[in-house]
Amino acid sequence: MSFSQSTTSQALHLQREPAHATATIGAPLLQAQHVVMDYYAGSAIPQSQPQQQQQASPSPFADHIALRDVNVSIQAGESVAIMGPSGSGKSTLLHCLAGILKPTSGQVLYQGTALSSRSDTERTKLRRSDFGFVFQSGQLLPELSALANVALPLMLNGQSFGEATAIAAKWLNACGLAGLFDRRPGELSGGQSQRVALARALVIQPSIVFADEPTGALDQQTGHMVMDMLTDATQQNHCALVVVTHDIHVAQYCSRILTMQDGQIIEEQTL
Amino acid sequence: MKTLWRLMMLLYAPARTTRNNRHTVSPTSILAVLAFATTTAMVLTVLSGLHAFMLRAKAAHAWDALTSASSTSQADPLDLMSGIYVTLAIFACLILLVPIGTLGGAAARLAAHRRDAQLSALRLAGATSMQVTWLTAVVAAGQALTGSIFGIIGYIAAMPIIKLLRFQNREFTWQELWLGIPTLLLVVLVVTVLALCSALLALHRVIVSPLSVSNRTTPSALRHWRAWLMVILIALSIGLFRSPWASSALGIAFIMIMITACFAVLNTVGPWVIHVSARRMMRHPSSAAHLIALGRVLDDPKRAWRNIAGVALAVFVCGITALCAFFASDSGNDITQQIFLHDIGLGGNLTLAFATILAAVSCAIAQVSAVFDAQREYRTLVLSGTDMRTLDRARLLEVWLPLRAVVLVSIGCVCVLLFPLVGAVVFMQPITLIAFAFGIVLSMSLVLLAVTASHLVAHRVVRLDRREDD
Repeated sequence: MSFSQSTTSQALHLQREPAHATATIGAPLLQAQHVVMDYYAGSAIPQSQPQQQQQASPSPFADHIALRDVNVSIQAGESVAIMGPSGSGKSTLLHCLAGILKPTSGQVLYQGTALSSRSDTERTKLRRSDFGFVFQSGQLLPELSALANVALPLMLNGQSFGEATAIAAKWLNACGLAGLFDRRPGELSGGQSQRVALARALVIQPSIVFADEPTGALDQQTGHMVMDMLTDATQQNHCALVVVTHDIHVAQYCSRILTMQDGQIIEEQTL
Repeated sequence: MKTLWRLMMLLYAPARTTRNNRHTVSPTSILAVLAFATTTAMVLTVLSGLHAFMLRAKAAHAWDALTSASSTSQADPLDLMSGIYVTLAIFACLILLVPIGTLGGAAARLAAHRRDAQLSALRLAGATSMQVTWLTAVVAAGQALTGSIFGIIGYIAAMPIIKLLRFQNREFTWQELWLGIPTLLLVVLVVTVLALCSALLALHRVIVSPLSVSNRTTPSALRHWRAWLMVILIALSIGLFRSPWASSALGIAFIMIMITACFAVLNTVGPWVIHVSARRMMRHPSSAAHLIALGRVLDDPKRAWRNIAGVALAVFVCGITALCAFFASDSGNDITQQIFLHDIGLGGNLTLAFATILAAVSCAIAQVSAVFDAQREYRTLVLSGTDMRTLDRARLLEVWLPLRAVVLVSIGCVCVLLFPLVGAVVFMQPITLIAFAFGIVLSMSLVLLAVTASHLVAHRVVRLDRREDD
């Protein structure tokens, strides 16, 4: 399945004024300040660890400290890649930025407000209404058609099935998936599935899209196709993009690359 | 065989535990053992009832033979009805076969639960497909063996309660309820072998490759012939029930067989009813929870049916026991008849209780199993802002929507089947209707409660505070 870059460029820009357009000009959209994440401390206790171990002295490898004093600023419409080897803390940083994890210390500000000051329910609502997510796999419900999968976030936000499917259909068309509305994820190729996931992330018109290894399960050619679409769609909708990846070729699609190691940002590169 | 044994020892033998390396039993294994234990305990308890009535019938016939030369007038009239009690007990066993089989099947599926990562890793390490299949099946059989041993303990623990029940105007004795060591061993063997076969059958439907585990087949579409089968059987039953022949002893036996057959056919029709009603509702789901629930129901209507099959049976049993309650209240001063009808009512209520417990346990097991199967999807949904309340509601609706449709169809079948036998007057009596409605509401509530219990597992599975590979 192929699609034309120019067609996509036109098609992926859809209607509504993004919610974040009202954000204060110049102020970062999202900001991590001195973020430390220790999985043994506070709320973030790994499920697999027995209770006694939580109180034990830290392991000599201290592998439970995933982030050490991380500072990041992301502007509206900007695209940032987070790179680094396994265990460097990339996904933990993404989860902290998205309000999924509460950092042990430091804070994450979204539109100037600390995420930690919001309740769990408020953060869940925020993720549903302002943030889009694309993962490596397992993000589409296998029992639902492509159309229903894309309509789901809108229904979660309270829209009717009729309205939600009408909007979802437009986004699927924009992602070059016309004619595949009734297919289930199991009946789609890897690239098609990721495009459905992309449509699902964008359908709520988010301020930021968080993508965790979005091309990890794809071949190189399909991976480039998905990244083209992801960056085009986010730029045209004035939506920030945060991509976690191992792949430098994927990272080069972004305007800035942060390299992590042992829970710290060791290098920042602007392209 | 030697390699298989080595693989088993490598994977499942108790490891030398250290502070950082504790050997833990997976929740699915515990649930599978629990399900096998419940199945075995139920089978043994039902069999012990049958055994008791057979012993009583045997004793009555011996008494009858001793006194037949003179007169049978001194024998207890209830003893003379022992044969009917045995027939009714067999009837109860027959109708409990389906929910017991359903629970056993659910347990076997859970035991053979696709440990995708582990199975694929074994294939990647060089184990053959056959070795991996047998390894999983043998583990399932091991869980069945453990569960059935716990089931025996459950059966023995329940004996003092069962002993208190009064049938034929007297309590059971220990001797009547004790099935004997050979029978217990036989039941353990049967449960284990059935689990092994069921696991092999389940694994036949999946392909375990070095990279993943996937389904070999997709579920086939459900056809209309299922509904026609039910209609034909009900028509045949009504014809039989209306014939004068129905009042004979053989006729009564046939009535029971036909009711059992109708229930068996309901097992074929149930998934079709669920499919049709869910497809209709899927045109305009009213919320995100409805959308998720209906998607899962339509994905596999047979699985949705298995969740609630026990309640459909409970509706049948409710109908019969409600009628008994009516006849018992209307039996005048004939003590023997009153006791007989009381016993039928009590037997019906016991069957109803067993069917409901089996349905609730099956449903809980199936839901928990489904949570483990879909944990990755649940987790990503929660990551992207789906609240747990929506997912809990979706799981509840996944059971409630088919349950509602199937209960309505079952009530219709019961009324159509029993109407020619007893007439319209009985259905107008408040006592019949109250007993009927109470039984149905109770069994539905228990099943929904079981689904609620699976929420705890789901909340645990989708916890977001553990570190991933980053």
